[in-house]
Amino acid sequence: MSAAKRFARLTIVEMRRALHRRLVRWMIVLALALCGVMGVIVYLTSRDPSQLARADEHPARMSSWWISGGGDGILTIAALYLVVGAAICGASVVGAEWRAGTITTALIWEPSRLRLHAARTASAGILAFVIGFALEVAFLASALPAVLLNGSTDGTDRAWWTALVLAMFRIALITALVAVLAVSVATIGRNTSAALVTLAAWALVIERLIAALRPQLGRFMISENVATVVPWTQMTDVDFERPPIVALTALVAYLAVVVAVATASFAGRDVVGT
Amino acid sequence: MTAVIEVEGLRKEYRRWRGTPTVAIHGLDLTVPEGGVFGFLGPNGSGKTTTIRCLLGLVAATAGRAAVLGRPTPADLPTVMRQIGAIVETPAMFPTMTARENLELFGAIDGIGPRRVEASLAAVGLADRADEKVHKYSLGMRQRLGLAGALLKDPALLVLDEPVNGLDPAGIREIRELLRRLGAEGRTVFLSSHLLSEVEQTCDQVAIIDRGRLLLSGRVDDVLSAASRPSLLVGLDDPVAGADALRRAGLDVEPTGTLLRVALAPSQAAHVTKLLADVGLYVTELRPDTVSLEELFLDITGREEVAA
Ligand SMILES: Nc1ncnc2c1ncn2[C@@H]1O[C@H](COP(=O)(O)OP(=O)(O)OP(=O)(O)O)[C@@H](O)[C@H]1O
Ligand SMILES: [Mg+2]
Repeated sequence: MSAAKRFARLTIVEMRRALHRRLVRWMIVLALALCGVMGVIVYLTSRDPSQLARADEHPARMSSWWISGGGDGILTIAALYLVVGAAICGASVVGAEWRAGTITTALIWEPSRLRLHAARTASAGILAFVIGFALEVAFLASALPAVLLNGSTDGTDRAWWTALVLAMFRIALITALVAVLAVSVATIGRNTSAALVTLAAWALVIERLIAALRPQLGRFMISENVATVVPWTQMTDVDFERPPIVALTALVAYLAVVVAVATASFAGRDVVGT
Repeated sequence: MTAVIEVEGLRKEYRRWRGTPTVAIHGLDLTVPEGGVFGFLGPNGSGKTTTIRCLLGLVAATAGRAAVLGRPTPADLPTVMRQIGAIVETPAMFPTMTARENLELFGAIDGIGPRRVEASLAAVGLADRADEKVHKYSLGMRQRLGLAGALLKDPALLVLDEPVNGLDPAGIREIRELLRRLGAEGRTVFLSSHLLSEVEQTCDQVAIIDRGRLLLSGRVDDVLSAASRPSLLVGLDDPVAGADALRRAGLDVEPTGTLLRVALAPSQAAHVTKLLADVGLYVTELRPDTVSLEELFLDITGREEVAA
């Protein structure tokens, strides 16, 4: 069997396993439920045309789904859920394996740690991207009844649709990067909660602290770069130049370092069961 | 006969963050020939699981060399693992999947289809419980499932760490027969155990380790006969008088429980009965003294203890 074929098989097995996890399923179910709730709220709040007219942005007006250039629009709500969900699911897929000791069983089937870890990383990225994109579609679709019955599709020209789809792609991409990051951090720590605490502490405390004490370092922060990639606009309110492509490159480079550390730590680690 | 497992000077230290490392294996040498069932025997903490982890590349040996199916491990493990089925300690499977789903999932890595999954489940007696989720399984059922996983690859070599752990007596017998059958088919079954009677009944060859060192290895019969001094056990109504009579005839006699152990080959039994009959003592019991692996095991591992 060719190495590529075996890698593909392993990746599919890893995806099947991740999709079988209750947490992953529940996160998807919860997302769909929230979409449903949002659809109802959007519909109810858009029934009164005068109120709808007064709202600056309302999902019943399709054009506010995504506001080009500003990085705004209701799609960013979905992005937040997806990033948090990707972190939780990615970390748990790996953490659970160490906790249950199934990592031993996995290595008996695939003794090449490099291949196993690469397949696991790839599967997390692919799954997160696909699920992320699908949930974005579900999220926006939930507002569609309100748009068609109460709202309007004014201002949704070809350029707007292109911008929307590109934004959805970028959000799905960020979701995938976060999933891979979570998998890597959880591989280093072999524990779900430790990985999540690390990620949360980094994003919510350390980066905030650095940004407050040394604003000029802002351009190196993960959160700042994500906030540049999603709207695909130059970072504003800062005194440095950082085109979105540079921000994306920086994110990928950071991730590459973490993935490399995770791979090395997994390759050299004694696996002694539970 | 070629060696399926070869271990030379294997040493494994488990390092900790602080303190001195634990030396689990001290320069172990081991050769497992092809075909049949090989018992890897040792008391708790003697390094059986650690040796198996080294062979399967789960831990990195500190020193020494090992080869499996003629290829150095862990370097060439990816090329030979397709022919190796293994369980290490209590085999873990994904708890929220059924047994069948688990086996189909792992099997998919090697392109193994549902027919083989079915055959493996049947071989370990799980066919009718295969659609239950694994977290509802008992310890013995998990053990059987692990075994089914090891059989799935139709392996040339089975490396089984305490495979009958948690099984009931009927299950032990069933698995023992399965392992013997696998060994007789020409596969090599390498199994670790501290259930000595099981090893004695299942294995063709045995290696005994203690504290990470090999104490003894060879065919079970040879190991037993080498260790047993040829002697007869004699039962008498009056053992004291009997012992006197036999000693007067120049024989080495030692009371063991209610019996006398006479240092004489079993073929000389008639000589003993005659000597005793001559002084009016009649034998109530007479049999050759055999040493079980269990006694041998306790004997040699106990001796180590004294020497250490
Ligand atoms: N993960 C570990 N970290 C540190 N020391 C360990 C570890 N695993 C095993 N050891 C030590 O290595 C030695 C051998 O352990 P091992 O598990 O190989 O024994 P065993 O023969 O399989 O025992 P048992 O019959 O109880 O399964 C023991 O002294 C044990 O304490
Ligand atoms: Mg053990």
